[in-house]
Amino acid sequence: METKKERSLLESRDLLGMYRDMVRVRQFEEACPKLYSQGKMGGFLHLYSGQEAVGVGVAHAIHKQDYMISAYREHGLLIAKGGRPEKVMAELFGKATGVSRGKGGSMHLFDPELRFMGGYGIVGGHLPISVGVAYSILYREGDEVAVCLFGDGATNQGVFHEAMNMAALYQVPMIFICENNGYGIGTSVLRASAMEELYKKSCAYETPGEKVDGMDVLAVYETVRRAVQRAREGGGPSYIEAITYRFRGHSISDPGTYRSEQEKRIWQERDPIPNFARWLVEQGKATREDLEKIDGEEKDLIREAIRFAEESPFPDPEELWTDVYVES
Amino acid sequence: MAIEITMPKLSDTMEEGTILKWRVREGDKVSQGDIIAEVETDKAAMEMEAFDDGVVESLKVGEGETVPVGTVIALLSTSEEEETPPVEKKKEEKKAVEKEAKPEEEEKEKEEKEEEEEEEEKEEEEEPKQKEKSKPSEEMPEKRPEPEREAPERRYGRQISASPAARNLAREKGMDLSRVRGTGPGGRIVLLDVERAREKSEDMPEKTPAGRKAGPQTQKSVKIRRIVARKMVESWQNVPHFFVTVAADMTDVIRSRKSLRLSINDFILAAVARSLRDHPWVNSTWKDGEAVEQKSINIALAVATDRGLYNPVIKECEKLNIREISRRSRELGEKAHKGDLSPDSMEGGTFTVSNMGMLDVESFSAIITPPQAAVLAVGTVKGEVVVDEKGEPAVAPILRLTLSADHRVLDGADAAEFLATVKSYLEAPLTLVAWE
Amino acid sequence: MPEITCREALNQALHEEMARDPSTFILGEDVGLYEGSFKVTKGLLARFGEKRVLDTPISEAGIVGMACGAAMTGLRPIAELMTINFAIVAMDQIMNHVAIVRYMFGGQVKVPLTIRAPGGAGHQLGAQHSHVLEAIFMHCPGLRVIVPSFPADAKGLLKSAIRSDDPVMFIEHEGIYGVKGEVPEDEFTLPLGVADIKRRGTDVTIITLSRMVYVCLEAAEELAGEGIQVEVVDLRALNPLDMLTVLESVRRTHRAVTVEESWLTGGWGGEVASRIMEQAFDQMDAPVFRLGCADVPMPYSKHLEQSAIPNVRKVIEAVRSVL
Repeated sequence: METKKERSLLESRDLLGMYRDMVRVRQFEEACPKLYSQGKMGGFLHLYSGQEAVGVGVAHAIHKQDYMISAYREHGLLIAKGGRPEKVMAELFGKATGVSRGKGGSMHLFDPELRFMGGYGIVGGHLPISVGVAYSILYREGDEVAVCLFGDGATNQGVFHEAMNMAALYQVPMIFICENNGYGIGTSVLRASAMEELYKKSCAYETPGEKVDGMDVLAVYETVRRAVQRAREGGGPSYIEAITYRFRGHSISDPGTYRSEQEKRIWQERDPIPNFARWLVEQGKATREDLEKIDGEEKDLIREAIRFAEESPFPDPEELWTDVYVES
Repeated sequence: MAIEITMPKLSDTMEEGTILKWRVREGDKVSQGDIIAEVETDKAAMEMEAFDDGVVESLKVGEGETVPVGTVIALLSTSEEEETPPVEKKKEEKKAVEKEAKPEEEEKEKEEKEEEEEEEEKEEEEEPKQKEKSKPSEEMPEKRPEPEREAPERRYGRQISASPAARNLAREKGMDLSRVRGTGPGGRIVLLDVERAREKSEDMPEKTPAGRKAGPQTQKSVKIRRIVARKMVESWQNVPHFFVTVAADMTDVIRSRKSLRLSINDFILAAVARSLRDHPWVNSTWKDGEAVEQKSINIALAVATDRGLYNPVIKECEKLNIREISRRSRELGEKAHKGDLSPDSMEGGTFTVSNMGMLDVESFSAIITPPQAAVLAVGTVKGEVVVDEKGEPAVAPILRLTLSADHRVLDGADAAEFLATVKSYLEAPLTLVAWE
Repeated sequence: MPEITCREALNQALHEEMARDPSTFILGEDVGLYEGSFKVTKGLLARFGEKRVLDTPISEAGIVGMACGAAMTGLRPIAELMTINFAIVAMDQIMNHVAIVRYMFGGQVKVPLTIRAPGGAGHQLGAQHSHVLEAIFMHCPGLRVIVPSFPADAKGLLKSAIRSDDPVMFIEHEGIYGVKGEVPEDEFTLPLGVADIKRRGTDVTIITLSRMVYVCLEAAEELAGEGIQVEVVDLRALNPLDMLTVLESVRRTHRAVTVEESWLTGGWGGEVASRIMEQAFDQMDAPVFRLGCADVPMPYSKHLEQSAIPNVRKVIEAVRSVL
């Protein structure tokens, strides 16, 4: 677990960057329901609000050349890894300028330059792929790592176990990060997993498993950083369970009625953004004015992103037939 | 000397006829009694006999063509020098009526209980049967009878069965597929057949402009079954049918028939005749938007024969007693089996009785033959448990009768009353025997 | 040209391609130390080492998914599924990931992955180990589906499949690993999706692939004795589907029979027949006849099994039915 000493290693600049990223993700996500209701976007829309500390903590603990691969609640993850909000927004709008050129949508964001290897819609389906990505690093004898994020529901899928077994077997440089937000759609972890403490699931594969407070960006950062370090040094895979909460329903169409008001209130009090802001001010890392300035800048950025998405063209009808094959 | 063969009048209402098919070609030798053509009348498709020996000099009307009664359709050259008296011609025409196909309608009625789809299937299934029955001959192009040595198989249906490739080649070469014999699966004309036919007809220049005749020409060749189908569909669509069924206790009929040497059917016919007299409205026809009561009670029968079903008519039943009805019905039955029925013996029916009792059918509904107002469908006599006069269960021979009635002419009550009368006669058969 | 078995031809292709391209590696159950359950991977581990010849646990979804991830990040993996039956276990990875990620991510990634799997019925392996599934993969856009018959085809096509930047389902047939044929020794590849006319004829075109090619050739030989000249088109691939060759042949013979070992209903024969109808209707002299496996789970008992699979007699009957 993190210590005060380790926290102090972070420069103020990095801390404010984390704050900025969390605000950006929150602003982006909170802009979406209105746009969705206006018919600007279609399909599923899984929002990340509440889980920002996980994505931002992870993104800050890895390098740009490290791979990130994720499930379908991934707007925040790509943005945290440096994805441009306007390109993500354009993708949600189904525009040609989107990160997946309008062919992927909310669940299938992709950015090869940022080594964001995709958002995937089949629970657990991307876990074996992430092992392959990590094996690729091993094969090329590179020093990157692969970080694979998934929800608590994925730990009950068969491929979770296949991937974890193979990752350990080949000692690939990767970190499995389970974002445990308590619910697989509407079924709570308690009702879906025989083992309530999900981080223990890696013990069968001789892989270190650790639990971290997913509402604390610094805690996530430090935990992931250590695992990344291990992986880079040839120590093989790790597994981290980040305990977090999504403030909204599973998707835009989910009112979230299976969760009690009291439960929601308790978690709202643990909102990673204001708590981190308070800590920054208390620690003298930033002033209220600094943070408000960031808030305003990010609000403008997202407004700009929406404008960009609005003004972007839809894909050419011919695009229907491109990209099915490399060689046609 | 040439004898003119004219379009015969083959039914009471026939004004024009269609040559469905020539069974002979120019130059063919024919003998008296040979079938020379199939003719579609307003009622049925019939075979037309030659009444003289001779050689077909020319065919004047092409297949599929419709001409008024009396039009010369062919010339027959005879060896005799003398002119054929015109009287003989008339006779020819009269006798030409050989096989009335109309009785097939009855057959159709029996199928009518089946699902529509099944019926359609059955109709298709029947095609090959019919194909076997009628001697195959070629379908000929309009007004262009052309001798051909080989008689190709007759193909039924609106369309000739031919592969796309065969059609394509025929179209390119301007060939008439109706004149090509198919050797593919199910008699389909395949590419090879067209090629062969083309080789053969090399020295027979094609008179038809390319690509015109093949299609529509063949569509005119309507076959017998289709006439029946059309008529039945017409009846079913245009006549608002309703159905009423009664059960009659046949104990007394069965008890008395042996000693009286009458059949169950005789009793039924007599009961119907008597009931029609009692309920003249049922003995009506629907013409030009109104029901017309008929003076004569002419009961059409359904007679199943090897060649199909025939509809001979017992005329003026109101004047006949049960023994006469019995005799007439037996005579007509025998004629039907021999194929000796004259056309007028099949005309003028005012009411139809269709009896499937011998086929062990319990009950069924029949389709009305317009312009008649009703048809009675007769099932088999079957032992059933009934409650007797003492209120105790007993077994009685029960007959089920279903009347199909035209609702434009008859109401439910009319039908019920009529059937009640038929039932009462059958349950007291001596009243029928006593009726003179 | 030397005569070698289909197994040896495939083995040659693997050796040659792995030697040629260091980014090529093979993974699968028993591919290394055991040298493949059908010995197709013989000699690879000794030559290329453990990193490039990776024995995996029995985790088909894991194998295919891992190969997919490696392919997306610059490697050129060959995933061997011990048999095509197990591809069903990995179907989510194959159809929901491998086949579609390129499109789903706007063409920003490629998946140069070859999934090899032998299949086929006829060895009394019962219902779970006798599947013939090429038609299923043909249904899914994004996958190339290669199904070779002759040893030379197997070699030339496997080499091309490995070099392809698209994911390829390379479906072998257990029943023909031992069949011998002439195979070029030197560098030799075949284009993916070009059919091969295995026998020339004028009367009927049989369209087939994989083991059924041999069955159809035998039937054609027998029919030739009756004066019926059958043309046998070996599709060699279902995606890309070489309709040019098929249509060219059918336009000459005017008759077509498809022969497949897959279940008839929803099999590839229906697709080929439809395309013939659409593109060569006016040249057809008979409806296309489809022959395929009986629509039943494969029975164990020898006679039942044999009666489910197309054989020479059935092919002859099928040909006769369109004449």
